[in-house]
Amino acid sequence: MTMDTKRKRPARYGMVIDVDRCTGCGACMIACAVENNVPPAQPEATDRTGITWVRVYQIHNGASFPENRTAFVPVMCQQCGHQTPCVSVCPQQAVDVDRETGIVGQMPQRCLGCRYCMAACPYHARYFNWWDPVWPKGMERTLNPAVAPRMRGVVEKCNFCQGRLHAARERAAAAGRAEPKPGEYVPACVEACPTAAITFGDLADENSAAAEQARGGNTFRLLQKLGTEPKVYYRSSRPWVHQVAQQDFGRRKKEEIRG
Amino acid sequence: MKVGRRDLFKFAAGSVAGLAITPVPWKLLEDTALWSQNWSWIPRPPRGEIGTKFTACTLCPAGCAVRARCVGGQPVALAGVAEHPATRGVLCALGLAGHHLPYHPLRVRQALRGGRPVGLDTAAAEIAAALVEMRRSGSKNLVAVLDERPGRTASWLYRRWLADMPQGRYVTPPEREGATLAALAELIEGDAGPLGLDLERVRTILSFGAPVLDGWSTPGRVLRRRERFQIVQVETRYSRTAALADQWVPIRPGTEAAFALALAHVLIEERLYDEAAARRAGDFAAYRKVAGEFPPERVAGLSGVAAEQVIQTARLVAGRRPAIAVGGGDPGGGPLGREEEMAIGGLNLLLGGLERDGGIVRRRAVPAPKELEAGAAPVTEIQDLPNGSVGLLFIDASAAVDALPWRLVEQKLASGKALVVSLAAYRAGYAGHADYLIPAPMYLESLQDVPAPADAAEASFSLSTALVAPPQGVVEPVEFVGRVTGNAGTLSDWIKRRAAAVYRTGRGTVTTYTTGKVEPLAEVGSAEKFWNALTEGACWQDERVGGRAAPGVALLGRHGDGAARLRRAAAGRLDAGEAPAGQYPLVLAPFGWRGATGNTALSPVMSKVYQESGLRRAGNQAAVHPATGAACGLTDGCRGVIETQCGSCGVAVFFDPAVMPGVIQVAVGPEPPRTRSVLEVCDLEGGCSWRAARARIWKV
Repeated sequence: MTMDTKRKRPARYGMVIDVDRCTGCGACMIACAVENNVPPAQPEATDRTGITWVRVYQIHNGASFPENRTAFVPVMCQQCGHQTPCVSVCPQQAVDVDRETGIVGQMPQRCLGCRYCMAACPYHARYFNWWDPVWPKGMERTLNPAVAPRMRGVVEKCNFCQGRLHAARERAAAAGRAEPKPGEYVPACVEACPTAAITFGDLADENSAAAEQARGGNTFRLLQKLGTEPKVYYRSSRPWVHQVAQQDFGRRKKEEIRG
Repeated sequence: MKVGRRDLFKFAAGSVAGLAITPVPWKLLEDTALWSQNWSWIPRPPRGEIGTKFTACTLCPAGCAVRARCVGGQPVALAGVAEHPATRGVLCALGLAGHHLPYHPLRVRQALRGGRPVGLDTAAAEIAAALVEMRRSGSKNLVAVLDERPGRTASWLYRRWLADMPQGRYVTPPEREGATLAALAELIEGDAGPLGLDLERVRTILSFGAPVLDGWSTPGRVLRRRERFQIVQVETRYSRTAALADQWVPIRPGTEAAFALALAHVLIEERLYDEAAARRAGDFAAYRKVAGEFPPERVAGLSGVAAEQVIQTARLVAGRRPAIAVGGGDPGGGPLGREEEMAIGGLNLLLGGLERDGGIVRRRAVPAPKELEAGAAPVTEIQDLPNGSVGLLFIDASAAVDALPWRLVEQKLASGKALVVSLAAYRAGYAGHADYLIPAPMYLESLQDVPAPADAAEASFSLSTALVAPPQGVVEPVEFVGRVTGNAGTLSDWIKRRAAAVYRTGRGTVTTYTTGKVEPLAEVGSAEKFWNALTEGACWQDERVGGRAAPGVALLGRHGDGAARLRRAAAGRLDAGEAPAGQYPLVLAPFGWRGATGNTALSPVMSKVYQESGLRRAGNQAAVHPATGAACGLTDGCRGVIETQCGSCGVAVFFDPAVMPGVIQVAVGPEPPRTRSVLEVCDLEGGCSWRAARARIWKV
């Protein structure tokens, strides 16, 4: 007897981030760095040259004390589903969209470091390795064997912890299933979020929690006007958060960096 | 056909042109990219058998359960354990990278004397000789152990050993997260025993600056139940908790006592308080009189909060019960004063939250071996030690969490002749001030016990097991102190005895992480089986203590001077200080994040939240309101100097419109700053701990 482990329909993995729950604790950023072997910063690294596959931005309503209000917005690769800007500019085909999962993948082995993709990404979610990865002596023993460290001169970004997807698929195949069950594959940031602010799942599955939340009220996507159809959705009950999300706050933040 | 020189050139040019339209150059380019990424200096992750181990985090008192993914026995990733009844799968950013800490560059691997290497045996002999000399000379100076994580088995060992020394004192930092509960225990007549917060059933938390949503209590208890309670955050700083609170009440620094009394005033005047609970207070009339002196209109002038908002806040909290009021202060900014905690304790009684479900509940202490409990030295908070009284000070900084200014420690030392021995894993915190630095094992390197945190609603006990081998030369702090003071003992043996003491209670349940199975302790079978379960990944949780006859309460304390102290505190802490407001027109308010206040090292990947994103402020970064900055001649991003009566320090200045005008918010930690820490210029004498001091700032 054989089991059919071939996928019936392509998935569209995505996530919904509840901005009203995010405390800006940074657990997602640390879990991501640990999972994906993102090295600690070099002494001269800055906000602009550091590598954070997911970065939590603090946004403001623009008012002054005591009317000021703040929200924390985790921004990772938005996994654009339409005319993915980084894919179209890469001369090396080092970026591709997996039709089976919808995940925008990055192959650092192919990357030449031209950084066209960084210029094209409207979300500033791509990062260049300005230095070779260095961990303090002995700490390389703590690296995740599922992910290879990248070297100086290549671009990297969030891939929804593809290593976890492969591991989950292997487990599913061993159990005779075509794909992991909901919850069997979750990126590190989702698992680490202490407030459960991030819901991850297959947006193509109408019954998934992520798809339900994405359809719900108060949902928006960053820079919707660009029409890149990101697969990362955000939720907030605060109107000013929706407004700021349509501005390029990532770029503004990076341009504020001195030096 | 004759092939000429010109033809060769044509062929070569044609070949080059033709090659460009073949895949060859592009393939070469790609291969070059591949080849150039296989360098020997790029670290290669380890290979080995993949497995899972369980332990408990000891980086803060919450003691969250940890699931460690191991490769060849080496932890490569940490995560929370959803099966744990209190921590609920939550692990904070610091805990997620805890497995990096054994390899931190600041790690101490051998004993140091005056910053220079010395043999461990030599150091022990020299310190023991100093102790003998103290005794021989009849010195009245104290021998003290400053334990930065009370409640552990190691703490009980310290207390037991120090009790045998006439000059021995067991010292702890000022109470922080448990300060409100400690203050309440003081107000209750008789032996109140440990108290806890019933966060599982509370509907409103009235927080006086406690970082409820940013590293407070057991995060899993708070964050995973956020929808079930409202938060009213009374705090000067627009902190993360203030940003996500249902209501933020920005008050002037040092006016918490006045604000609490104003709330009490409204509750009493509008008869919103729990009258049955108030009848328990024998001094209710006197308390009412004190609260009556602080009506919202007066407190509006002190705190900067409009009278109407004070009234609305009181009504909101009273209308959503069960409610609790918590203080405790900030991990970097220091504790609230005892009078503030007394005022907050009074609010808890008025709101009917004392010894009620959803409020403040009684719990049992985690049992300790009888040999240790009997005759243990009392606990003394460091501020209660006489100045200049300590001749030999051991600092167990292996479990440091919150900030404690060195100046506060220093003023307790006998002038000129005190010996300071720091037992720590890193050259951080007090290491630079100690005469001897003794290397201690780090989290994941040794067996530790994890008793219930100060605010737990029931006692609990679990183990933090060793997952990696410690470097040679490190010594368990309590064992080193025992060796120097002539007390033999192995910590792991005593932890096992404590587990046996827990087992003998026969109460509560044991939760096994691998299966999620919860079984009564009485059915585990034997103390050995209980121990094995704990080491393999399990925790014990006591039963809730049932309702007890409510004893009397003294809202103004049991020493008779409570009313006067409360009045003084409520009149304004800053005004009680000696610094002239004209010379120091601003208020310095330090703040920090639990576990990242510079007392210990953080994982290098914490650079993601500090250096690489600016998500959190690093040590000595000062935020001021743009209007304040402009008035002081500052510019956004400039370097500045802050001066108080206690000295000055350099800071990096940032403009932030969320900062209260007239206030300088300065971050404490996370790494030892190159410049003098802001903690060392904070006012310790003004009666308000070090959370606010008059200051000025200028650009350099």
